[in-house]
Amino acid sequence: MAVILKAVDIEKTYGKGQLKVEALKSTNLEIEEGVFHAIIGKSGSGKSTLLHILGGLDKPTCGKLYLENESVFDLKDKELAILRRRRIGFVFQSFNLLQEHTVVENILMPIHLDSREVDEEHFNKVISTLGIGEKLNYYPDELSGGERQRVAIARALVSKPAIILADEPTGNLDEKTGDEVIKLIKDLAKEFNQTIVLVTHDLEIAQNADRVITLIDGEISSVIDNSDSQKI
Amino acid sequence: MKIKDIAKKGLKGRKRDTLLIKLVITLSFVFIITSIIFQSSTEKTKSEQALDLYGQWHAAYLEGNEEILKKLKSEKDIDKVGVSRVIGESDKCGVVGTFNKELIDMGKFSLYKGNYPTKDNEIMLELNQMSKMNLDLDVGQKIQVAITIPRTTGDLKQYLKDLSKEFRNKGVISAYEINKIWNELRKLEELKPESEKEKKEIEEKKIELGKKLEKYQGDRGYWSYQQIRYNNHHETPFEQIGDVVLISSNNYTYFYIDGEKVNPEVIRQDGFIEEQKIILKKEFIVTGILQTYSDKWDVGDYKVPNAFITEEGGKTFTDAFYGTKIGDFSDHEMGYNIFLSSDLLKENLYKNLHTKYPDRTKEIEQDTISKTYDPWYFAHYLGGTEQDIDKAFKELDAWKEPRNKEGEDNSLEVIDELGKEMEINLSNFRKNTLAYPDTTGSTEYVLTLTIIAIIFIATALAIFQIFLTQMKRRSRKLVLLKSIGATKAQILNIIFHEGLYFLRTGILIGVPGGLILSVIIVHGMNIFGKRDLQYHIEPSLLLLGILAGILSLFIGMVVPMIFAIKIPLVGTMSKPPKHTKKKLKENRKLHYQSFNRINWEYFKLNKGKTFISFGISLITITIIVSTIFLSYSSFNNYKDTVMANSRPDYVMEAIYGESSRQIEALEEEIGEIQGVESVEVYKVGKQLFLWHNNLKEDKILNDFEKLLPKELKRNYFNKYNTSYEEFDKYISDAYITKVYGISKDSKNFEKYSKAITEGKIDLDKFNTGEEIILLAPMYLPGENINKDVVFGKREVLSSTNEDNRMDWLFNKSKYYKLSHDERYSNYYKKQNSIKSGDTIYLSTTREGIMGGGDSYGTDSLNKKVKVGGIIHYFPKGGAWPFSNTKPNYIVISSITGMEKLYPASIYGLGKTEINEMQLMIDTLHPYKFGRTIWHINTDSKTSDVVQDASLLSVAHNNNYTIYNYKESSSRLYHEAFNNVLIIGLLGITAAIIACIILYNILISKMEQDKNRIGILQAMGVTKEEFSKHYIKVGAITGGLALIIANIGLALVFLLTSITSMDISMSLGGTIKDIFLYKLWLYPWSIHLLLCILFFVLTVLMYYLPSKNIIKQSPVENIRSLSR
Repeated sequence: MAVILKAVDIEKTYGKGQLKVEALKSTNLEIEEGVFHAIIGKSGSGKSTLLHILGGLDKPTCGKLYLENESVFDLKDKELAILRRRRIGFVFQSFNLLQEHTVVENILMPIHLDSREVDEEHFNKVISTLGIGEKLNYYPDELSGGERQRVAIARALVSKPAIILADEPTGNLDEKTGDEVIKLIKDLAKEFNQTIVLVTHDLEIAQNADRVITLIDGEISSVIDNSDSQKI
Repeated sequence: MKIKDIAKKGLKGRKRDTLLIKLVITLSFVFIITSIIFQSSTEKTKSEQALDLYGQWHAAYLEGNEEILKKLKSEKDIDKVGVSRVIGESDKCGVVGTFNKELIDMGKFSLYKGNYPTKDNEIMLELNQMSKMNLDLDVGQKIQVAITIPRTTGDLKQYLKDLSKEFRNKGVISAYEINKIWNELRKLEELKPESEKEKKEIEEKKIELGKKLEKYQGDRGYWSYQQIRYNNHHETPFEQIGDVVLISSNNYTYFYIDGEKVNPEVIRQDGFIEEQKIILKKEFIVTGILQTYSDKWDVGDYKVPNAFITEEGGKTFTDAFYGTKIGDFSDHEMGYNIFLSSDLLKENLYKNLHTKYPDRTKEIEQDTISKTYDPWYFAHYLGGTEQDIDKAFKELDAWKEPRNKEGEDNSLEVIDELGKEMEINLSNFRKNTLAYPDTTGSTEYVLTLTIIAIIFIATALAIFQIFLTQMKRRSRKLVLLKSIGATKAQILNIIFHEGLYFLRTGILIGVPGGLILSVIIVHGMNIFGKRDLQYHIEPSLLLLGILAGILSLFIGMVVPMIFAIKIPLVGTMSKPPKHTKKKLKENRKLHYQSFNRINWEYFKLNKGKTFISFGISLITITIIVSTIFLSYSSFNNYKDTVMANSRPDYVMEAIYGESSRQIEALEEEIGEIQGVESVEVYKVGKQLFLWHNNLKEDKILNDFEKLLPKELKRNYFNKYNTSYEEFDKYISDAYITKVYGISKDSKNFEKYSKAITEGKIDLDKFNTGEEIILLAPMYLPGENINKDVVFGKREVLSSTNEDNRMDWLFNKSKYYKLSHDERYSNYYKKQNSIKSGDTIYLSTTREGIMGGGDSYGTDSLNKKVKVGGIIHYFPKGGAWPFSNTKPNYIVISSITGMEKLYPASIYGLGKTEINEMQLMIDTLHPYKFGRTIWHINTDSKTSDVVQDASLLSVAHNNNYTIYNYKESSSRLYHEAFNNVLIIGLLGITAAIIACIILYNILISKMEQDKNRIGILQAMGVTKEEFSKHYIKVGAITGGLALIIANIGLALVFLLTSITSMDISMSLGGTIKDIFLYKLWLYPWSIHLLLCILFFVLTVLMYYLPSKNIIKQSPVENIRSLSR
């Protein structure tokens, strides 16, 4: 399968001198198209930092990131914003929906911000798959946690991004709802042949991924392909 | 760890907020201290200047006697008694009086040259007296001082009554009585008897009267009255007493019957002293020249010395006067002017003592009979009855009265500053109100208190706002402190300590900062504004200011402190936004979610926050524009009094018409004085009789006549003057006014000819005097127009001069409002009794002694002229002095035209001495010589001593009077400037504090937006889009605030203008009036500049905080939610 996202020698440090903290140490990673990746690690292992760098939300101290062979951090701010708008979808732990907008407005926001026409067919498919068709005119604070996360996933999916990055998407949900959301993400990956990178500290959740990347103290310690249970 | 350490470390962790609060409290102290010191300094300067000018004494008893002096000296509350005994008035030095050390101390005299006299033959002269008397003396020179003390003469009436009785007993009958018989006979001659009986009766009566007459005819054929002779005798006995020569100048009159013995002894014994003067002569050495003070002190009409001698020097005079053998003058009192000072009571001294020192009963002044005393006149009555003598005096009074009346308005052209009513204090015991005016209610004092109050409120609000936002942000930390066991009292203690730290910075930086700023302002004004401000700190006010600053901090902290202790340990104090539930629709139309729309939705949900920041913006710009407007309004008094009236800086006046050659020479001389910008000269002729066909029906003049007290009517209407009864109607029915003579080449002519509102003036005919310009103010009938209003003569005379009398009477009675103001041209009525093109008659009296010397000026000069143009109102800028006084029917003619009516005004002083001219004007020819007026303008607003001296010198050299309006204009200007500075400080302080509040609100709002910004960033919203958005929001907020503040200010101005207007104008008219007249000097450029500055600042305040946030990565912004 083609590599869609490639991180080369990515490092991220915070602070200076004695207070210097190395969140990521010379990390190299390849994300393949259509594959559901899970990044796993303990709290403070650097998994969220890695995810944010992969999504262009945060800049590394050094190293390169290629999205479909385009060097992400060589882009200007505006181009980077447009890249995020068009080619990356995010799902956050705290949903990050805009409270003043309805569900449908939240979902379509990335497309509208990009002044693109909405692909009605794709939109309908997404909302029906996520089961939020009845809630489109609701406001986020009128929804349950699971429903909110579904809306967040729908928002990430609707602009047909090259990759979806999900940061602990079940962190704010109860176990049952969390399981449902993970199942949904797994189904979506298959349904839409969507590349997904999910960060979690829960091994059980990681089991649902096609590939599991383990981070220990800012370093990738293992990459396991669940389909053949092969350690890379 | 101690509570104060927690507070201190907490402050370090919130650097921006801490800095903002420190800035607010420091600024608050800086501005409070600055405004207080500035106010104290201006007040102190004013009061010091007042003491220098008006003396330091708190109260004075003027024209007191020894008994009063003794009593005052024994008063326990009085610490210093300055005594000046007034010896009398001298020929060269004015009033001569003594002084003591205390008087010098409390008088705060300033010596122009030399020293105070110490010996009995030394004298110190007042500078203005030297100029007045043309003395060219210097220190060290000798001067012969001759003090003349007029003595009251005996009772002339009683003397004449006794004499008349004596003559009658000797068989002399008065001419008056004989004339009565002659008149009776004449009447009998004129009778036409209708019957024989009647004819007989008349004849018998005639015979009887004839016999009576024969009886009075003496042997030699003289009538008995013709036997009365009179002799005048003058003698001047003198005596040398020490170094004083006392001369008694006695004028005797002696009436006797022809043949009786007459010699000086007889006259001295039996004659009447009609005039007696005691002259005290002594030679003095001038030791000093004193700066002028006598015209400045608050002494009313009482005389104070123009020349000071020592008490020993004074004693040489009193010893001579009271010890002379020439006569007993002990009935004459040389009064004491007693000046008092009290360390304890200060200006309240008068209040505490005035009931103990009532006014002295003034002796009725001896009638000035000597001026009109004519023995020939009284001789006619001698031999008559007592009633005849009484009648003689009554007739004399009746003759004198009109002459006195005419002299009553013999005022100079110059008018007092505002033409306001002036009260004359005639009390002996008086307060020094000029040196100690009541300042507690002064504008500056009120303004300073207002500043403190406003800065107090603004600071408290700013502290409140910043602290409250901070408390909300610190809620987690506060909860943490509570959760680990901090009590409410400890939380309060932490915040209180934070307050103390802020206060420390505020006081340590703000107070010295305020001191430094005030030093810069005071010295800056002295250097650049040519002011002479004294740096002064008023401790009580300063303490009040510091207290206000401290209180504002802690009051501002109260609510945030309550908020802090009420933060719950669990849950949240904020509520989720409320949405309006949208109904689901089948074919719902989805709104396109542009970035603008996303922001609009956000705004709709956060209206409250948005309106708070908008409100603060609005308050800020309102403060700024109000400050400009209030500063502009501070100049209203200056603008209305000086600028709108075109008031000149100096007015110089000659009491006669100056010759054209001299006028030219003077124009050149004055023009060469440094700083003189322009000189305009004109001539004035008073007592001009104006007549026109329609004058009888002239409503304004008729009402003026109705309102005038009866004694003053003859000053304006000839029909009240019996002297003109026999004259043609254009004299007997004339209205009395003035004529102004201006040159056709002058700026005045340019101004007046441009101001003509009806008709057109022919330049050549104007020049020859055939055409004139008539000044007739517009009028607006008032509410009392048909009611009877009565004014007393004294009230009118004390409140008005001849020019503003009509305006004053109409205003006071509410009959009319008069105006020369163009702004009212569409609303006021224009007088139309006289129209342009009409012919009017102008006449003047010859002012001669007619008919063999016993009647006064009834001959006249007449001229028919055409009214070329009428001025009803002046264009903006007015025309001094008319714009200030609004006299009616003033004639403006060429100088030639004016001189034709006043032929004696052509020659200048000629061979006449100024005192002779003065005497002629005072007694015989008040109007014959006209007057000459120069308006002098200079190039700066500040009073200049050198310029004053140069102009004073020109005036003195030519015997003119000079009036310095520049000083009062400068005072008005500086008062306005002080107010502007205080208002400016207030405005700047309030605006800066409002800006800090706004900035803090925006920062806080932006921080709350961080998460949302992060989400949008994650969705691909670019930095440019964010920047544009915040710039747009800033521009809309700033723009809207600008528009609303300006509209609000305009509305307030419109409403106040409408309510303060005398007339009801249309809305359009009112707006036009506001822009053309009320705002005619408004600093639009400053207004515009500050509006632009505010707009840019608002945009920056919205943009800059957002810039800091959007430059962060989306992750950092999203994470902020959990901070």
